[in-house]
Amino acid sequence: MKYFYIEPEVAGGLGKNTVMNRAVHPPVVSKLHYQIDGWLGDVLLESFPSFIVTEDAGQQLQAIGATGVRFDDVEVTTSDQFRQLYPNRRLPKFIWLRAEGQPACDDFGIAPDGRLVTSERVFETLKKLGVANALVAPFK
Amino acid sequence: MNSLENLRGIPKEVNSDLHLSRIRRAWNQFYRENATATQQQLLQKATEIDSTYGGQFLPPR
Repeated sequence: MKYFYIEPEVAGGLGKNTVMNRAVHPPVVSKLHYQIDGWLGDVLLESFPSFIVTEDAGQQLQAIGATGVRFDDVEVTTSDQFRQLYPNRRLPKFIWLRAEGQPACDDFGIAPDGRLVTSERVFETLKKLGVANALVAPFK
Repeated sequence: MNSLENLRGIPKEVNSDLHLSRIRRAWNQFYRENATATQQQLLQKATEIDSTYGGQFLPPR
């Protein structure tokens, strides 16, 4: 099985309602608030150290039985910049993707350098749904 | 970093979506790679991003 580093589109940043422990690196997030500044359309988004996916993508990942991941609620808001640039753009519902597996063992994991690692089958699933703006490299 | 001289715009004719996305990605990589960034490191990164993308800002640098 092949594995890949995926550096997703960064559509915004952590919002003020995020709760996390910054005493460790990567910080441990217990409540996630993702504020979107601009969205190119990918189904998987990052704002270090967290990832979110569209609800539809989350359902498809669950349908293939992806391992090393669990899903949780996320508060998603849009910034003033987003509302000015895209006054009519509607966003899909997003959910929090918590990668907790071992890289190159589970379908989802976090590499020592903090990058997301996924199996080929997960990458293929995401690719069909749209991750055109992600940076992808083989995991070695 | 938030001084008035750093207040810049991105012309509408450039692909601001893609442009802003690249800047967000650059900062995201920085936060991932720097557990405890100093003010000096933050300013250095801002300068680096400016030199990479600043040619498309208004006023350009």
